[in-house]
Amino acid sequence: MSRSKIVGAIEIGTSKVVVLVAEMADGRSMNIIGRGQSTNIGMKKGEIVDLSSVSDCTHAAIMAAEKSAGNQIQHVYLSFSGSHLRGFRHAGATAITGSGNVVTATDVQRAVENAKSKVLDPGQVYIHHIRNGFVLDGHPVESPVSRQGSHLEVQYWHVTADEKKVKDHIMVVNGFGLDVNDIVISCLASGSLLATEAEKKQGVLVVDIGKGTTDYVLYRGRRVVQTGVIPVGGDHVTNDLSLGLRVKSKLAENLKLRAARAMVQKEDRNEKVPLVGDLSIGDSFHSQLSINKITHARLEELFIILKNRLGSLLTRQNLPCGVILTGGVSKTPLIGDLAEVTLDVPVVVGQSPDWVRHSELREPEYATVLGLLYNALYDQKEEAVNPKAGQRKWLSKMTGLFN
Amino acid sequence: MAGRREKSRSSWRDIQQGSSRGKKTTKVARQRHLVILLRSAWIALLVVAVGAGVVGIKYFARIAQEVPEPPGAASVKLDFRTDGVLTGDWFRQAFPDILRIEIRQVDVGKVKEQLEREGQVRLATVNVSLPSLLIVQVEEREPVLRLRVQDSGGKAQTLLVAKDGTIYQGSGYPVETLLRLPGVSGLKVRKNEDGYLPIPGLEPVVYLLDQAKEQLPAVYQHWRVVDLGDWNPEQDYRPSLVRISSTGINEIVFSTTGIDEQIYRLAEILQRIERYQLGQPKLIDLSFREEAVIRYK
Repeated sequence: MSRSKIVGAIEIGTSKVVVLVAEMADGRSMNIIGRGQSTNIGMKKGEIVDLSSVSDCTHAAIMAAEKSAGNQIQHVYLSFSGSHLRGFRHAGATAITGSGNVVTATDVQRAVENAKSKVLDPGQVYIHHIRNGFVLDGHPVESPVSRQGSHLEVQYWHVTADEKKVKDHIMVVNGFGLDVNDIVISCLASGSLLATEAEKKQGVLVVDIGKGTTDYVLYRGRRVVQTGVIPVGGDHVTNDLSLGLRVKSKLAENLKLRAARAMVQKEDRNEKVPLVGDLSIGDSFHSQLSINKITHARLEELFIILKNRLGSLLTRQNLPCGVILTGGVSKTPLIGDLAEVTLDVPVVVGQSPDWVRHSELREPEYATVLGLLYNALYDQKEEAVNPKAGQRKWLSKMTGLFN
Repeated sequence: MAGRREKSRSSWRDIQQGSSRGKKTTKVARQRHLVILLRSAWIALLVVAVGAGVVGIKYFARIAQEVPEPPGAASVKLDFRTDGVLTGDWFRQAFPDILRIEIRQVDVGKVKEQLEREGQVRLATVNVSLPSLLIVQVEEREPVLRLRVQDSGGKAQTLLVAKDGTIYQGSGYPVETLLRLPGVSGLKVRKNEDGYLPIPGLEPVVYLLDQAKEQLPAVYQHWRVVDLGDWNPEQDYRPSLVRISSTGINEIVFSTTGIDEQIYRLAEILQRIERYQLGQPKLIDLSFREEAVIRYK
């Protein structure tokens, strides 16, 4: 019997809230049936500063998505970002004491628990524990069970966040009468969608430049090696333009979207760009060169920060597949060239996979929310493979009715 | 509250969800809750309505099944007695309404009248024995002949002729009994409202058949058709003849007067033919007083 679930992917971004509704059948197929979007005015750099307006915007977007889907969302996948996100590597280790020094599932479990047991600072919670592989007696192994050894180590990349900020996000969704089934950090969501398995194997960096933050994830050997958030985004470019050209923020944003380029070119000297662009009386003109210089400076700085963060990981040897740019800012002309020059690795602007047929959904702004649905589909597959997990969720839902 | 410490959490999944208390709800969310509540209420109402409908249909179906049986009907018992072949089941089928009314409301006179209107019943006695017994006693007519007629629609129909000349549709007779009855032809019958008028003056014919059956059973059993074309109940008007067709002798002609003597003569003739091996007769006409015309094949 085919069971379908109505899954909602919610991205509460700095500039807008995007909600996609999909129907998933037994973890085998996904059909996007609804979309809702609203401008978000209550966030700064990926963090909620006005809970009330974020709730209004989010609820309006969810409502619009449910209306267009003609169905109510049953499961929610929420993307999460913000400069408070931290990532660190922490390994768990255990000595193999069983007969013949053969690694058992219990040994693995013990090592995993050890890796996850690191006590966090007060007010911090784990968002993800991403396994980075096993090391048995100093040698990396894919699966250590049934192999001989004396010391097992499991590598983990942990992502933590500020508990209060996580609560705020959950509270916004709960306020609509929905529970959050899973939280996925933005870069993982967009990374899982844009990077192919081959790229993840060879090494690739996915950089999602949003309005408030830049999220990145580095894959190598099919594993997530590092994630991070840089509190710099498109808003900074807008702000710089506003200050540099002495225009209002709203006009600067408009100017950025219309005319800003990431690289300065010779012909920019003679080019003038109207501020409003509608030929209205009093419309002033600004030099394309100035606009591009300001944009270039801020984006270059962003890539330098990224380069410094990743250090030796960001080399052509470590990242044969280079960098994939996504997010709204990745639509800036010549940003790929700038990134390539600054990071010294091949850079491409991300393309949604072919199964995303809707032309608007193929825009880079939707990479995160589509990635959330992609993750949700994998979750459903796991649930289909391991029905006990599904039963547990069902049971908890039922018991939750009487709480 | 000062000094109060929240339990430390390690995963975001430990954050309690679900309770709307303290959550930031908006007008849109409240509208949605209201829509969900109304929809749930509507579904619940629909389920209740469907359930009530099903129960109602079952109830009325049960009532409808009970309606044909009036109160007390089940307690009315029938005692049906007859000297013929009719049974209690025939009575129930022929008069279904009588057993469905209150026993005290049974009009015995009317039932008797209705029964006696049935050609097969010659005499009926109907009694009510309280509290619930209806006693019906009937005397039946005995069929002597079979009559084949065509009804108004042109459809052939077999009727029975009783000894008193009553024509009726027989019921309950064994097939062998009916097959043994000779058919009648040449008879003009007239219809009335209920069926056919009785044939007057049939007694001599019946007497002839009875005597033949009694005196010459071996001969009678081969009689197939009694032709009454030349039969006349008013004997003074013209000679009244009964022609019998049988399987052995093609035709035996009787007069309706002096039947005993004709039967005797027929017996004598048949004995003589057999004794002297005179051959198979084709015609024996006994209607000439003391003489007989015999024609051989």
